[in-house]
Amino acid sequence: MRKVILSFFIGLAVLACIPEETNSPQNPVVNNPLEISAPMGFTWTTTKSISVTLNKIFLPSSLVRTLVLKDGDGTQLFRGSHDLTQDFSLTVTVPNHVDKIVIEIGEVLLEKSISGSSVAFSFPVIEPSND
Amino acid sequence: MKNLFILACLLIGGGLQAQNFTISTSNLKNQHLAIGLPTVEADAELGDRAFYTCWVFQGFSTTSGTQPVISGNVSFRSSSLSNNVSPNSAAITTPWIQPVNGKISFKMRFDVNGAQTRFMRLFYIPIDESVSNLQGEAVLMETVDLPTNTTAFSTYEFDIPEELFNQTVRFRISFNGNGGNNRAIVDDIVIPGIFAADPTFGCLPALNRSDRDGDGIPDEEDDFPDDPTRAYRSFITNAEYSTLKFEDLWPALGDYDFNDLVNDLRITKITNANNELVEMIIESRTRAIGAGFRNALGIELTGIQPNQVASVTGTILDGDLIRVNPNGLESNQTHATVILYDDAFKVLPRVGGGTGINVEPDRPMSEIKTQTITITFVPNAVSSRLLTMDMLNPFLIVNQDRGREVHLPGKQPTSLANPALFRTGADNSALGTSNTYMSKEGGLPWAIWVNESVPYMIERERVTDGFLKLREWANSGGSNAREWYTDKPGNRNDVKIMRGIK
Repeated sequence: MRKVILSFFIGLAVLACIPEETNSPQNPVVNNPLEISAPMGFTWTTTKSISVTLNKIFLPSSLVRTLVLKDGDGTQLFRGSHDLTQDFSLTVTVPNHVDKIVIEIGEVLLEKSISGSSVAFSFPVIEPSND
Repeated sequence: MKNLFILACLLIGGGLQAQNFTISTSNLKNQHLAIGLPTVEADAELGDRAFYTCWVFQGFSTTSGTQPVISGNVSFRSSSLSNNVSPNSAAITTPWIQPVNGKISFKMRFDVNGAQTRFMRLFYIPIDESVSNLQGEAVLMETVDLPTNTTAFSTYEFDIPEELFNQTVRFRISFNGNGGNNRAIVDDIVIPGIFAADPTFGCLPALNRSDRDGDGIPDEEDDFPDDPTRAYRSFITNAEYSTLKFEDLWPALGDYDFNDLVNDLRITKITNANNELVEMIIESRTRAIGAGFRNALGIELTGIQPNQVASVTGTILDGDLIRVNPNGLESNQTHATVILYDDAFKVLPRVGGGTGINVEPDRPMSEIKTQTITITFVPNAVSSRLLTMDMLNPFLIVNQDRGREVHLPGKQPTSLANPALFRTGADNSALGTSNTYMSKEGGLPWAIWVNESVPYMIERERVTDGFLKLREWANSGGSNAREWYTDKPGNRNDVKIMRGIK
């Protein structure tokens, strides 16, 4: 008898530990519960890929500096070293609503609006004072 | 008198060896320079003076069309030399340079004959730390009267004074004159020395910046200034977390409250001075489980090979679901794949009753903890370019069924997914294309990833009833309401949304 009672409580405990399956596939669902008709090819991504390029500058030898890429919200997208005598290119992922990309190298601050899926920067002409 | 002397030398076609400068009509270039000696040069062949970084060309541009040149296709060309005084009216000033033993040389001619007087001056400019641009008073090195009755070019050479060796200076070549309107043509400027300007700091003299670990990244830019194997820390996702939401009934449709698993992720990468991956750190905060299934969460690093990973720490895998390699990655995967936990209830335990966890506002809330997973890469094996948010392929494993994976729409299943499940139920996937994990009707997803930490729905509330512009965004193919997930006015219905669960 004691074994029967013990088995009953063990059975109860096991049942209690089984998670509730509130969303079981057997539940009836409508075919389009959100009443959405997304166009073909739409992948629901809240981000987009942007190709960022920066032209090289001409120097007698390589010059490595820290390059920081940010979006218009100030969110950092890349931080790494870059040889200014080489072209820079990188594909970054930004939220869909971002419309601006910023590059910082030392005191150089470049900012451009995103047009399509790419942003092309040129290193600014810096003519130091001649006085 | 010097003028006459030079002119005489030019007329006999030979060279002149003055005290510390030389003029010759030879077209041989830089013979005096020892092989391997560093030089700073400007030969105009780049076609635009703007390409000569940190040089200043005042009253000078580059030649074009049929304008006379000295060598190659392009030379520097001054404006008319009508100013008899100013050293800046027609002048070429070099970047900051650390000169070495040798001769400054360049070629020069006039475009036409007929001027009255013309002269050229060479200056050096020392550093003066009392002024903001660090540019001291120009010191005259040489004045040379120029012949005005010829358009032949001459090569001018000037010894660099010994006292300038290894100093940091600029040089300026200026041209002046009276009468006539001819212009100076200059080419093949060569300065023996090391380029010492910093184009990223206004072309000021480059500073010797401290670099304690010797990795080439100055301490103030190095996130790990005492560790030569690490240089930069940057975020792959938003620095303030991103939110991943799942429906877990795939390939069947669910209730679309998108809270069966709500998991915030902040993913950081650590790179070395060469932009190679050292570590990837995943901070995972499981915020809600609106389901009864014992789901697991994994991330495939698409494009990264399993043998490029040295180790993985911080995963919670103590069941039978996941088999791992010695390096901590899941076994038998084509791409490096990390399973963060094999059962969401282990990272967000149930407190009290209710349908799920943290999905009903009137129920006790389970404390959200941060799980930190560190992936260490084989040294110098993976470029940081390969690890962007696009390359991450997070997925849910449904209720301990290893083959039943739920991915973001457009992503591919991993090697261990069960291919027999695709195109069953409501799924309309065409594997190998971007049309994956979308429903047959409406093209609905089973997962969504927002690169911000966003709130989620109360149990059984449709996501479109909480995020009021989601439908407009989806129906427009992403063109309209692109900020549907933000807290801007009109975007959310707070009554349907769980608040304050971070």
